[in-house]
Amino acid sequence: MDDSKFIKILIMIVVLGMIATIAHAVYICYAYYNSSIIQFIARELWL
Amino acid sequence: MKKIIVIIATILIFVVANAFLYITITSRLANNFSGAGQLKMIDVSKFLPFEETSELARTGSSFRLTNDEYLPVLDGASALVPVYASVIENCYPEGSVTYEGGKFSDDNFYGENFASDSVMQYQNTVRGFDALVDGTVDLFFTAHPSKEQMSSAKQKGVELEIVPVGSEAFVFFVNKNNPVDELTTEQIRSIYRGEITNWKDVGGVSELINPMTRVKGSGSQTMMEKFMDGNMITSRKPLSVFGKAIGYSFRYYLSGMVADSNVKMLAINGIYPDVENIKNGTYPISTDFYVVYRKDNRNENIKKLVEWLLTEEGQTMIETCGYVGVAK
Repeated sequence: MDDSKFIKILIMIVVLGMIATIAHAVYICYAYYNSSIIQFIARELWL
Repeated sequence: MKKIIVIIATILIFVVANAFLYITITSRLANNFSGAGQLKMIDVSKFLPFEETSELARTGSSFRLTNDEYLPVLDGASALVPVYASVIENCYPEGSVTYEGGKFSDDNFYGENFASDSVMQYQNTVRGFDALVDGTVDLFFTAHPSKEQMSSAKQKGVELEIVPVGSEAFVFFVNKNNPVDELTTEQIRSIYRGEITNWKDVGGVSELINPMTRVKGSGSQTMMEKFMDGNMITSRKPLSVFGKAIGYSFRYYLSGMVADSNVKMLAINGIYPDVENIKNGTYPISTDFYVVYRKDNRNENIKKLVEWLLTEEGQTMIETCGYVGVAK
């Protein structure tokens, strides 16, 4: 794989990954503020 | 080969980050992201009057309304659905609860399909209170209305009668695996003022405390603001989301209606919120719940119903629903 193709693929992955992660974070911010307290606490992880 | 490894590693970074967020937060978010979702927090189908399988208090009543009279329309907070549905079961004529399309469904946007001529409605605290003020609901069952709700009614020139008919404990709860079983009222206030931020400071493990709040205007949020005397964090803090949470609710809503075995109620000042401790007044955070109606509502049956709720029959019904009668 030449350098130019590698850079293009890498940028594409980073951009798509960022978009997915930001969308996920935005959803969390919205839903966390409005979610059920009881369900949120009931599903808490204790290892 | 090196380039392939870099590409795979980059993909893995995003996958791991999102999987971490999903496991720790997203998978725990549930159910009431909208007005419709909040209404669906309880299964109203369990509390439909005149249905054999409903979980209502069928204690009987010497006061019964007939179809020839103007029947007051009842609505209320989700935690009080069993109470006002039981009032209808005991005091109203059969056929007074009706549904759009003839049959109950909770499949529509607002979670239920009570017809506009039905005496039972379920719009929950915020929309239901507005309906009371606007005059489409006659009698509203609720925790004490918030300052904002009272002021909104006043601005519309509506005067309200607010009558206590029962009492209930305001409870704090955590995950069942949290080793903390009790807190003092002062510790709770410090947690919700952001002064205590780690569970180890109240006898627990070394984990951040995530003090969760509820939607403004909801019954439990209004009660919490009163308990904190207006001095509390204003909303959920994003950075504490990874900590171990504490929340609040009314006892029967938590233990009787939602009844999730993965959460536990905390003793406050060493007193557990059971019926006996609420009744004898030793549990420190009890509150009355109310029926609210417009002072200018001329329907005579409203006052008769309220008076009945305060009789021995009415109080027995309230206690059979799982609540505690109003202090005499």
